[in-house]
Amino acid sequence: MSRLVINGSVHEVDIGPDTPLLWAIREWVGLTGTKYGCGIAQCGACTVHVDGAAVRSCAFPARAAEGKQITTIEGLATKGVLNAVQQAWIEHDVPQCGYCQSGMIMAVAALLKVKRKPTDADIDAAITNICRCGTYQQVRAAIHTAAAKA
Amino acid sequence: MNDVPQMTRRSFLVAVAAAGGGLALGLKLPFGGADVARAADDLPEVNAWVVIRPDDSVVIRIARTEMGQGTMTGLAQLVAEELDCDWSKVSTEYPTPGQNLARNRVWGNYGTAGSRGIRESHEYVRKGGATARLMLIQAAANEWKVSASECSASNSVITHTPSGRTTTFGKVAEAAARIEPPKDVALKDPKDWKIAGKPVKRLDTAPKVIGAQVYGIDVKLPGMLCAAISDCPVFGGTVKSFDAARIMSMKGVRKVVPVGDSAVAVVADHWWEAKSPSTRCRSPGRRAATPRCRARRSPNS
Repeated sequence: MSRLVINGSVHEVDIGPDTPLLWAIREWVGLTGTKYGCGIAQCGACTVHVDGAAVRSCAFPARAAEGKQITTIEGLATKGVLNAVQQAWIEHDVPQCGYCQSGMIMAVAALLKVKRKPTDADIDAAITNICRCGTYQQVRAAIHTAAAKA
Repeated sequence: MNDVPQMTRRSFLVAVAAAGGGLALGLKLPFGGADVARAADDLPEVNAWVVIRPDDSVVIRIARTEMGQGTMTGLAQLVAEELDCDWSKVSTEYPTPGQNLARNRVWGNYGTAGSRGIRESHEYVRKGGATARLMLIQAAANEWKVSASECSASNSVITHTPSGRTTTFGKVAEAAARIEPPKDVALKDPKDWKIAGKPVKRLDTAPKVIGAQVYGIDVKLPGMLCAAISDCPVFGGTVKSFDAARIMSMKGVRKVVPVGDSAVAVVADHWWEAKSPSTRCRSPGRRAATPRCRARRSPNS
């Protein structure tokens, strides 16, 4: 059994030793907002926070997250108030199909914690998530909006 | 367009269409009370496209898939335009293909590709909205004992022009659901549109930024198992061997199934437990449990 703290709640999960954090979150805990994209840490659809840092959970062993604070898209809002990134996403109508956006938002929320006002170059370097709809321009605009609010 | 859905609530009753189309007979079911179709929360449908709650909130049925292009919001705009409802009170729901079949395809074709969602259904969804508006106006006119021609609707409010009396969609929805739908409804001239064709915020954004949007991969049914397939990576190759017993001994695995002569599927409680055998059984010095493949020689080599 592994003991995972996700969005402030403790979950005991009966997972195999090689289970990636993504599948523990999706299949054992049942939080499906975190998405499976490539499975090899390239696309970023599975991005969650482990102790505040963005990690690509499809290639991050769940057991390595034991004893740490895990935050998923479902836990990003605090007390019912959306995070500034989520608010900016709504303001700019960023998502199209939306499949990659949970990971995109989690990556951006982590970036803004360490870089309050990222430049376009900062965004290009840090936000490498892939969006097949091609929402990159809206993502960039919304990041600047979220940074201005924070 | 030969696939226009039946726009009447009676199509929820058994309908027998004569060969060649044109004539459809509605037969009342031998059970049930009033022939008003109910929405999931037991509120009356004005028609298949529109449900209005007593608090004036409007639920518009969307029979195409939202795949990111905004089809769902666009179709809702078209219905709301002809309905003359308050756009801020609109939400949407998807009838299932099964419900469509059970109701004699009242929502028409569900196909969503190649811009067909709006291109092929805009006319009949607008008629759905316009029909509902006329039924709501008629219900208000009946209550006031005036002619419907003296009444109009705007922003979910119905007004009797000569007297200035008003009521709202929510107050007359139940009565409107019992009115015989008008057959021929006129659609607005697009130059008069206030909601359709205008930029509005998408209705599907909010669930997509909190992880609440449900995708195919998120669907979990009772007792559902997951399968992952290991196929020979060489085109034309065949399975040489696989260790079914060893795979079966792994956590969560329920079954190992050969697929044709080139692949093996693992069925397990969780998808990772089905997928995992193909990655964790290739440790050096141990026999792989996953299929090992033999490349088929080309006849010329």
